[in-house]
Amino acid sequence: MTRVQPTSLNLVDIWKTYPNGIEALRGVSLEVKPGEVFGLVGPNGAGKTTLLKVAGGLLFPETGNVTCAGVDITRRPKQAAKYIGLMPDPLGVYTDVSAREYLEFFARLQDIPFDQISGKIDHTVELLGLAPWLDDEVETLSAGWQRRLALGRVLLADTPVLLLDEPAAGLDVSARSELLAIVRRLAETGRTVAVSSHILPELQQLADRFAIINQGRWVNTASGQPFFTRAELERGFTMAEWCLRCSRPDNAVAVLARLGFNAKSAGNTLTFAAADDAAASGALKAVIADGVDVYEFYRRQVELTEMVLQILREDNQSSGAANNHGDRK
Amino acid sequence: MMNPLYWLELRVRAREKRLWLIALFFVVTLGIISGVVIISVVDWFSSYTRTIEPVSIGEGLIWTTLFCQAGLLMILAPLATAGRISQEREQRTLAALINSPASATRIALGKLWGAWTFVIWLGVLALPFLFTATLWGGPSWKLILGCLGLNLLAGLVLSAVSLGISGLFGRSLTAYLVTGSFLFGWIAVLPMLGSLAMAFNHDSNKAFQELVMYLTMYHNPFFPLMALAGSFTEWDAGKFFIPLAYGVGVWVLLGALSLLAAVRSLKREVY
Repeated sequence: MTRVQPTSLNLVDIWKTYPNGIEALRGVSLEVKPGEVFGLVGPNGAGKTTLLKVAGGLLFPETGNVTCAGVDITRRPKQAAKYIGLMPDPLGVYTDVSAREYLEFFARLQDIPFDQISGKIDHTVELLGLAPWLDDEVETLSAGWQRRLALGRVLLADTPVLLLDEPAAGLDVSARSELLAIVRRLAETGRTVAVSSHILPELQQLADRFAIINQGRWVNTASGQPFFTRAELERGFTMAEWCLRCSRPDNAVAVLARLGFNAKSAGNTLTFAAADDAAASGALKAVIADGVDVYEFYRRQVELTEMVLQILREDNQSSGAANNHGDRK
Repeated sequence: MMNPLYWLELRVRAREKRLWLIALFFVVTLGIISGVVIISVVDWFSSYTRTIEPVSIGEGLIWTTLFCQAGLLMILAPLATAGRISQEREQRTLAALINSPASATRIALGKLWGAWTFVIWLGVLALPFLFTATLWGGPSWKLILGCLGLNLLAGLVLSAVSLGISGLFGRSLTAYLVTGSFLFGWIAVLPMLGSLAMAFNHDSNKAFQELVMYLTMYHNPFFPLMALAGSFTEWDAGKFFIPLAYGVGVWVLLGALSLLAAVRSLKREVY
């Protein structure tokens, strides 16, 4: 895969209202850096697709601007195609042509010199494993292969920025994993990638940085910031949570309480938060010294799904409360 | 390099069964009508003069073919073009087109040339009939080619109008219905209204009659053929030059405005 000129994507204070009055984006700002995979998370109708379409020059925001490689995409939306490859959802593929014709059409549309088209298509086909289906009509391909074909269309353009809206939707487990590996490799070649997805376990493995969008705006996490890295997610935002499976959990809870830890037990497993590894290690030593048999001791991994659900629940509650308060006024 | 949209249109159309059926319908219809014309002319001469003049058969065949071609093109050209942009919205492929370096003008022109190629192809299918008809004699080749060119130009304008209308709508069915209504109004209803206006004001002065003709008839896609059919054998556009120039001018203006509408529709937001 060829390396590209590192290009970052900047969105500043984007507001977008649809003609039906729905405020899809409310003051959203974002910077995605070269080589980074940015994961965009949120419920249906939160504004993910709108955000990607605004970034790709397909929708025009009321205020705010999108810049890429120093070009103001909001003022010159046609320039977006030079730097940004957008794979929308739903895909929208021509179904009455073969996969080869589909790729050839978009290669021609990208103004790729005629003598290079064949080579570019071969390269993309090899990368995406499309060879067995190349002469089949797109209509006969499964949703997964159509999705790969659409990604192939984006890759032919060889843009430094890729916006992928639900790239893994409708794919089986192995196809998802292969597709996400391809996206990872694209980021490793210096491309700037923003991915929106509802399949959070895969997104957690893929993205370097995340943000949660709800009702057209970013939602702050426990750290007070909307953006968080995978490392922050896995470590926990404030204190890491530890799990201990042991023979006498009540004794262990008492020992930990004496050391100042607030442990909660469920069956023979108890959980407690520790500021760092040394504090956790000290707690473990104290429990063992008290004669408790320890079967398992590990740091609890925070799942993106779990965290997103919790944050969205809290956000919806607080916006519901704010609305009720507003109604009473 | 060839316009990619034109390339795709040709690929897709060449594979469409509908296209071949339309072509077959076109040729069969022309064949049946030609046969009816030959039988009618022969029958007419047999009843009245007992001597059949070949040139009359030629004239009958040529004008019938040209009028049939015009009529069929007026139905088939919009059918082939209406919905070409709304279909892109419907099947959600427009986002991929817009997210490419191709300009809106290039996309619209590619679609228009694709539709016009179909019109030209139908024009070419009529050539064997015209050539066979000229063997009996009749109008000059200059006149025949002039009429054929006007038919193809009318086809291009109707394609452009259909394309422009298709850009305004998100659903192909709506685009087809609006295109059909617009063209029916232009080609059939407007001349009828003009005729009624003249019939109800038959005592009015010539200037009024001429004004009605300019407003309702001279720009009708059939008008040039009717005017030229009046001269019958030679290319004699002289006496109709101003109405003809006006009519063709209106076509070109309408076609250009429609193309502009199509281009503008491709610059709109893609939801």
